[in-house]
Amino acid sequence: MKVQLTHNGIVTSINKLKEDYILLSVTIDGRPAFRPGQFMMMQVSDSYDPLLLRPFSILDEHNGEYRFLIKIVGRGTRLIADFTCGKSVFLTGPFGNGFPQEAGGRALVAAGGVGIASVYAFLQMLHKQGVPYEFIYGARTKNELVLLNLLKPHHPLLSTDDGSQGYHGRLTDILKRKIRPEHTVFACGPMPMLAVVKNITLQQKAACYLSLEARMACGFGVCLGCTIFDTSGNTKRVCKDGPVFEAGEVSFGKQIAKNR
Amino acid sequence: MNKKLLQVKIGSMVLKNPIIGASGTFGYGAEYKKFISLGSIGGFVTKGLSLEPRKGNPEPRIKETPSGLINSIGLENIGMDAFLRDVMPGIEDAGTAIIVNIFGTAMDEYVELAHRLNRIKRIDGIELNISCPNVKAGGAEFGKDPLVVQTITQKVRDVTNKPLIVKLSPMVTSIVDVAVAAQEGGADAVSIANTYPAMAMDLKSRKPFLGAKTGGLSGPAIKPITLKLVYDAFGKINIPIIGVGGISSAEDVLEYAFAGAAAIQTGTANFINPEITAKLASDLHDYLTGAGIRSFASIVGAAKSSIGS
Ligand SMILES: Cc1cc2nc3c(=O)[nH]c(=O)nc-3n(C[C@H](O)[C@H](O)[C@H](O)COP(=O)(O)OP(=O)(O)OC[C@H]3O[C@@H](n4cnc5c(N)ncnc54)[C@H](O)[C@@H]3O)c2cc1C
Ligand SMILES: Cc1cc2nc3c(=O)[nH]c(=O)nc-3n(C[C@H](O)[C@H](O)[C@H](O)COP(=O)(O)O)c2cc1C
Ligand code: FES
Repeated sequence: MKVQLTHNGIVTSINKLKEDYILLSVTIDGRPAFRPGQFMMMQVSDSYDPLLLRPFSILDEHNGEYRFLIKIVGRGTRLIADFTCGKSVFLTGPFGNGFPQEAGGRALVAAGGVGIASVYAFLQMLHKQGVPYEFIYGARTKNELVLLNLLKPHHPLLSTDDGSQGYHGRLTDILKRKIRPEHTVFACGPMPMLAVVKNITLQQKAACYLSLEARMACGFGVCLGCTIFDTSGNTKRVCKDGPVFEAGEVSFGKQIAKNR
Repeated sequence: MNKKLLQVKIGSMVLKNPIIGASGTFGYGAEYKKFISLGSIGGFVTKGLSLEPRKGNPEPRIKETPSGLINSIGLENIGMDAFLRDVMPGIEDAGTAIIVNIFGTAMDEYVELAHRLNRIKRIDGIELNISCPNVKAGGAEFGKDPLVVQTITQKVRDVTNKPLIVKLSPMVTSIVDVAVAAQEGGADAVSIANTYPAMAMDLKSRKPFLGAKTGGLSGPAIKPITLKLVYDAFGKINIPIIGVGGISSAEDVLEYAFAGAAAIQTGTANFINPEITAKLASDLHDYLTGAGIRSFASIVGAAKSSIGS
């Protein structure tokens, strides 16, 4: 069955936040439905260079206006930073499995850095469902803790590596203190952080879901460029089988070495 | 609507129009049902299939380059059994030509794969990917040596009467020699061409960026190079040429047609706009009717035609 998965959006606002973060709003006709943790692929250039669309999590949607939190890290995201209101943007999606629709018991949500973009819609969902949850949000410095106003209803436990705001240290230290076996942990952030989250939840025998990132060409499962090898050695597509995986499936050995 | 306007014949296979989804970029076809009506395109080629499932190469497997993409997927696929058992039922109603791309590391594998496909009615054509390492010949490609190309084509021809397309490597001394070899071996068409060997470095580690070190370059960056290969081969063989390399717009399709492509495949462009094949078919229709051209076939090879335009 054909569904509308390509869109010509219009930029309605673009705000520079602290440090290298941007909050981008795009109206999309047809108001495609999405689940928390799903993402869209965004065209960054009107020419063939850069060629590929870039994946970004959907933060939220109001009356057909979709928001994205974007961290500037390279050429494509720098081009997005130059978008102006009224610009038309080609997008595909929403793609990916997203977070489970039910948190099951008590939820512990952990976001590291720009990982906040992926868990934000999920937090909103938990809030609406009235499920008990706690939320930990960490970054390197206070300048990289963004959207704090929007996050107030979720009572974030903040941490920074340099101690400039909140707990001085890693967010995984807070997680270690908070976690109980009856918790289900949901986390998104850099690979080394997710590796630690996995270990902590394993020790506590708590359920855990991780939202991963990978370089993507298509975003919908056909190029096999985003493939990871799971703990059983089988291939999984981050875009289609993920980006959210049960922690038990995710093998970290190689990625950590690479990210260090 | 004039049905003949866009119609293309490849051996006994009749395509509604010359737009085909390229192998490795179109999944197994079913993945595109949510994007387009498959019946609106000429056909699609499945991801390359081997006898046994393959897990492919280590990550990272893709690297974007200026107007291009290097991939080292390593021919990850579900294997022929799973394809026939799990995928075929879901694409039988596709309303378009289904072409199955096959590869092996020994000639016998190609023969066995083709033999198995020959029994499946709904499969309209077979495309041989001969640009993969030949284990028996110490890792050299099947596709480099015209004699090997002819032999492998002949062996597959012997076990199938389905339309047979041989997909050529662009990295050959003479594209004409390999195209002629495929024709002599009994091919109904040649696809020109596969990706170009390429690589990128990781600035931090000072080592190759891709897990497999090298990969194949595709996308708009390669269009002028492959276009020339099509032009070179046109007129030197009697079987149709399917042009594939960097096609992203109706203008690109026309360039390939003028150079001699009777049909085209789009690869990388599907990743950027998954509806591109359907759009190209409709844009091409509009262009031809707008320009008062009676058929797509009539413009194929225009660049070498003495009549001109
Ligand atoms: C499912 C998913 C959801 C995501 N959601 C978000 C989100 O909501 N917000 C967000 O900000 N990001 C998100 N991302 C990440 C985002 O997609 C990337 O940051 C973005 O694609 C980068 O594009 P770019 O062109 O700016 O960077 P690129 O230019 O592609 O480079 C990215 C990084 O790789 C490095 N790099 C590139 N080439 C080389 C090389 N040869 N050697 C060494 N290093 C190299 C660059 O220096 C840079 O740090 C998500 C990713 C995924 C997979
Ligand atoms: C990610 C990817 C996977 C591919 N896999 C295959 C394959 O399995 N078999 C094959 O014959 N060609 C494969 N190709 C090559 C394409 O079919 C095509 O020949 C090539 O990409 C050039 O066309 P393009 O520039 O339009 O992408 C692949 C290409 C890409 C980008
Ligand atoms: S990005 Fe293409 S398969 Fe995941």
